[in-house]
Parts: sequence; structure tokens; C-alpha cells
Amino acid sequence: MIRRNSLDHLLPSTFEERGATVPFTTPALSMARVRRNSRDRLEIVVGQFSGGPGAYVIPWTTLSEVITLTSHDVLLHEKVEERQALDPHAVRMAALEVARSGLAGPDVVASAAKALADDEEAKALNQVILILKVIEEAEPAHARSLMRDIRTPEGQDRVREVFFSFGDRLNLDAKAFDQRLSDLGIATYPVGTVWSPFDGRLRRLVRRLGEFTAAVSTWGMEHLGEGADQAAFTVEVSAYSLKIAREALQRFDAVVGSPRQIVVDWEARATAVGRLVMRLAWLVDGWQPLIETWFLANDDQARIEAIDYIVPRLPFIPAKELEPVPVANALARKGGKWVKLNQDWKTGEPDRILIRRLEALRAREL
Amino acid sequence: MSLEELPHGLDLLPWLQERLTTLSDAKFVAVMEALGVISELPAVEGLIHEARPRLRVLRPQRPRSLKRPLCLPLEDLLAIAPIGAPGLSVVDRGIVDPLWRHIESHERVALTPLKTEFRRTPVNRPQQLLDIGERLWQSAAKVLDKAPISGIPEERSVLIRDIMAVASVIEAFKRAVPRKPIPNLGDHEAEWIDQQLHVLAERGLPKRGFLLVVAARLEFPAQLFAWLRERGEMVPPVVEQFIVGRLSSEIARFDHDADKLAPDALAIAANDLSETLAAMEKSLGPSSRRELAARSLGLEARIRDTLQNRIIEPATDGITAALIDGASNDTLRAAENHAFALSVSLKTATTVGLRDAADRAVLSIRRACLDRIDEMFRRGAGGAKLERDQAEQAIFRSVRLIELVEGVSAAREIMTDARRRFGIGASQGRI
Repeated sequence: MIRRNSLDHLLPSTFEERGATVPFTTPALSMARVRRNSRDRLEIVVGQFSGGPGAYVIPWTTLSEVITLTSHDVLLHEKVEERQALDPHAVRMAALEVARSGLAGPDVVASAAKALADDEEAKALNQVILILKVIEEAEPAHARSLMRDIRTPEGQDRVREVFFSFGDRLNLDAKAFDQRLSDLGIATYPVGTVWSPFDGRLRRLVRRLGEFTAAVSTWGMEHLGEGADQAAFTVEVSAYSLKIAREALQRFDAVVGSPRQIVVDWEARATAVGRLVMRLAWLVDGWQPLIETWFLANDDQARIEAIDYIVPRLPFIPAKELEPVPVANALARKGGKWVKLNQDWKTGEPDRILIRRLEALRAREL
Repeated sequence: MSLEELPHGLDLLPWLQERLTTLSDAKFVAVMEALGVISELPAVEGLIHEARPRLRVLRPQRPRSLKRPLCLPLEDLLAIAPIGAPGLSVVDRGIVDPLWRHIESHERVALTPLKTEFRRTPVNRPQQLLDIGERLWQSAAKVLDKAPISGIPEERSVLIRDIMAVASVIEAFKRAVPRKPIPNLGDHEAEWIDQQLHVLAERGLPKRGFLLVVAARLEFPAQLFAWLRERGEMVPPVVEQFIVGRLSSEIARFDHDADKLAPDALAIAANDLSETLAAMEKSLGPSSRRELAARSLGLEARIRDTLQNRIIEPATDGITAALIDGASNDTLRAAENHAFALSVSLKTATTVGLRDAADRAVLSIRRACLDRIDEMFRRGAGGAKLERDQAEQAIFRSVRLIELVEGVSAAREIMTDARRRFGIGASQGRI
């Protein structure tokens, strides 16, 4: 049985309290999180700041006085505040905008452009896919034939044409339905539907978290010592997050399985869908850079280094977001034992090689 | 050909040898797997050796042999095969097979159950595998104590015996300090070295094998030398030789690779080498220092030439090429590479007497970037949105290059100044 610790009340209890990960390129801020404090002001939570366990909380406005930020991070810092970006989606959009400035290098610019183009394609496709699902209820065979060309603009136009021409047969107001389905498509594109030809970003990330958990687990089982202990701990945390994320994904798929019902009962169901998408975004928030770090490591020594980097940055699920509460808190406490000093404070300038590594990671994760 | 017509036993080997190149990949891998079980036989070993180039491409799963756990405590020393400095590696990779044959011929009876146990133990049972390893190392140390390996210098055989005798201590250290190279001999690492030295002293075992492995795992092995000296511990001669040998091999590698490296990797290599050399010169004893001086003769001049010709001189042109309209992404990547290299090499430039030349390059790059920013203000101010956006992009590019060359603080000043001149804050979506 896991004993409840007297310091549990100091751990974040909700996702909002934990904060959203901001992809800074300043090494001291890697995996830092933004959140709103009790006085309604932004603040940043920085782990690994002094090399000791625990986290430092710095008022958002004084961040650049405490830490020398890269030019990229000066813009990102301002953009997050300007947009009041406090959830993973809003932070991502702010980060994509700043990435296009080129201040993190040409590869990050290219990745950001691709990510935005992929988002647009996913939005368009998701809207049409939902329309197709409604058509399928009345005309399954027709829906199947329409599915074949769904990724082309012509194929998508044809779906809409059929949808409008079937309005009567479907017993609905096609125009009003189209509007709501479009809204639903935009709200759900980060996850995507199970019957879509490709996975949405968050669904992909859940799958990748599964691959990561399996890979770290296999590696850990074949080794001994500190690296293996760290791998086992990482797997404990990632498997837990994975389980919760998969449950959330199942709930999402069950609800989105009938877009027609959502449109009919719009007020209640659309809000619920929005919440589910956001919950998934929070559940996987902070995992992607860790997953990329692991899979970039291509030999044992690189994996030992990667796991050393990963452990202090593991995103724990806050206590109130799951049951039983003590499990989450016990995991969060255990992570502190591997914290190590890894910053050079001699010059006050961030380490160039570390900045470069973070920029390379950014180019992969956008 | 029918099965009956096939040659049998070892007669099969020459027959196979003739046909190896014509086999399909799958059949080739299957044959190699089958041979892996009897890979210790000299005839089979020869066959596998011939097939190695194709094996390297196909990368089938390695046959599981006790040779691997036997060599685990030696792995850090085997890995260091100096380029252009033959004879300096502590344990030549060629020792593995003679060592294995030697142990096997003396301990055939004891090894048979161990082999079976090893083959039956899944790879995800590391503790069981370690237990097997510990029994194997004890056997090896015992054999080597009684009979040195024939055909190699006795001192080498004795050293391997010493390593085998302390193999469990070596492996315990590796589990506690798993990173390699160990970037710094800090408190955590020192505590573990100290603890293991105590264990060795209590058991009356030689320390040199353990210290040699620690030196091999350190990024800057001279740190171990200094640490031992500070504690008043004697530094075993083999460890001192290793440290000098390691640096010599790094010098050889630098000479060998310098022409092939991109500016960024070259700058890092020159920097590391120059720092290691400085650290070692401070800590080594007089004889090793003399040896090191002989081995590094002319190195400073070579580093200076490399920095001047490959990093400092091409930097200005390489970087300013990215400041013109329509510069491609490749040009930009190359410019960033030059900028990073120049910045990393500033410290080494000071050591080798090139600081003035490096500073002049930095200054000319800064001037070019500032000129570009001025030009963009003229073009962008009062212009249409597209022109302003393009101007903004170009200004960011200049700031980025200054950041790479001079660091974050210098870039920040320029960015702050640019924003003041543009009169626009980030909240408007501009700099």
C-alpha cells in the first residue's frame, strides 16, 4: 500500500495547476510549465533549476530577469502572455507562430510550416469524415465508395454534394447540420476519428506513448543498475498515463461515434466532446519531447543518457485527475531521487550545445 | 543435391565456404546462426570471419556465447582502439578469442553447465546473467593466475587476470555510474570510486584493473589522475600510460578526421582536444608529461591551422551569404553551422594565438548583420504588410546569427534596439 505523505497537498492537484509545457529552447527552462496563480497572474514552474529536487515557481513577468533567455524564448514568453495561452493547445499555437520567426533555426521553421499545413489538412478531412459518418447511417454502401477519395479536394466536394442531396432522406436540415459538423470537425481534429484514414495528432501521440512504454520497458528489463531503475520508474509513470489516456480515447471514440447525435443534442454533447479533447491534450502534454529523446538514442550509452534526461522531466498526472489519489502523489515524490545538477552557471550564458539539442528536438516534435 | 549427398561434420565447412556468397540473405543468416553455436571451433571461426562484411550489412542477432559475458569487464578497454597509434590500446580486440580458448581449455568441465545455463537464460533476466558472469570471471581469474595466455606478453595476461579478479567490483561501479563517457568526476562518481576501492582493499585485490576501467569511462581521464594524487593514492603505471595513450589516440583521430568534419563538429573536436591536453599537462607526472609532449608535438600548430583555414576565415563569407534576399535554406543551414563553429572555437582560438583573428571575424559578422538590419528598417518602415513581414524575417535572421556567434546577451541587446526602432511590441505580432 502506498502511504500518503504529509507534503501531498503541495503537489498539483489538477492539470491547470500543474501547468502546460512551454517548448522553450533555453536549457534551464526545458519542460517548464505555465499556469495561472491564485492572484490570476501567470507564473512559470521550472524543475531542475538549481539541481535540487522539487520545482521553482517564478512570476511570469520577471522570468527574463532571472534567466537569460534565447531570442526565440523572448518572443515565446511574450506570445504566451499576450494570448494567455494556458492549455496545451493554446501553447502549441503560440509556439508554432513563434517558430516561424526563424529564431530557433531553419529546421524548426520548416517543421512549424509543415505542422500548420498538416493541421489545416486534418481539419478539412475531419469535417468531411464526420459528414460521411452521417451519410453512412442512411447509405452505408455509398459512404464506402465516397471514402476512397476522401483525401482529395474533389473527393471531399463530392461528400458535401451527396450530403446536401440526401438532406431529405437523412431527415435533417442539411445546412444547419453542415455548420455544426464543421464546428465539430474543428473541435475534434487534434484527435481525429477512428474511421479516418490517418490518426489525429493526439491519437498518434497516445500510440507513440505506448511504443515508448514498451521500448523503455524492454530495455530496462535487459539491464541492471541505476539506468534500469530509472527505466522501471519511467515505465511506471508512462504506463499509468497511457492507461488513463487510452480510457479517455475510448470515451472520446464512443461519443464521437455518432456525430448525428452530437448535432441533435448540440448544447450538451458538443461541450462534452470539447472537454474530452482537452483532457487528452493534457494527458499527453509534455510527453512528446521525452519520447523523441528516447527514440533518438540509438545505442546503450545514448539510452542511459536519455533516461537520465527523461526521469526528472516526467509529466505526472495530477492527483485530482485520477483515482486513487495516493498513487499519483507517490509516483511524483519518487521521481525526485534521481535529480542531478546539469547546468553550467559559470558564464550566465545558456549552453550553446544544449540549446542546439533542444532546437533539434523542437524540429522533430512540432 | 539430396541430403545424403551433402558432406558431413567438419567436411561441410569448405563446401559451405564455397557457397556462402551465392546464398540468399535469409539462408545466409540461418547458416550463420547455426554456426554461431559452434563458433568457438577455429575452422568455424575462420568461416564466420570471412562472412563478416555481409553480416555487418544484414546485422542478424548475435549468437549467444559465453565469450560476451566473459569480456563484459573488458569492454571499455576493448572499445578504445587508437587510430594511427598501434600498440597503445590496453587490451587489443584480438585478445578475445585466445582468451576464451585459453579459459575453455582449462575449465572445460566447469564451463559446460554454465554454457547451457547461459543459453537458457532469457536476455531480460539481467540478474541471472550477472550471476553467470560472476562465476565465469572467478573461473577466468583462477585459470589466468595458474597459467598465463600463451602467445601474448605475460604482463598483458596478468593485467587481464587482475581485471577478471575485480570484475564484480567493476560491474557494480558501472551499474551505479552508468553514463559513458562520464562527463565529470563529481561527488557522486568519486563516492562510488572510493567505495569500490575500499571493497578491493578489504578483499586484498589489486586496484589497477578497476582504475583502468574507470579511466576508460571518463571523458577526461586526467581527472582520475588528479583525484588519486589529491588523496595521496599511488597511480598505477598502467593507468598513467593509458591516460597518455588515450590522449595520443584522440590526437591521431583529430588528425585523421579533421578534413572530413563539418565546421561545427571540427570546432567541438578541437575544443575538446585542447581542453583535455591542458587538463592532462597539469596533472601528469614528469615522465608521462614528457611522453605526452612528444606525442602532441606540433599539435597546437595543427589546431591553429585548422581553426584558421576551416573555421575563422570562411566564417564571414559563409555567414553573410545567408543575409541576402532569397538565400536558400541550405545556405542558411551552412551559415548557422559556421556561426556555431566560430562561437565554439573562440576559447581554443585564445589558446592557440588566434583570438585577434577570431574577434575580427566576429566583428565583421556583427557589422554585416547590423547593416542588414538597417537596410531592412529602410525597406520595411512605412511599407506594405508583405514588405514589413519580409523585413521582419530578415531582421530575425540577423539576430539569430548574432546569437549563434556572440551569444544570447549580445543578440538580446540588438533585438531590444530593433524593437525600439521599429516602435512595435510583440503584442502587435511583430518584433
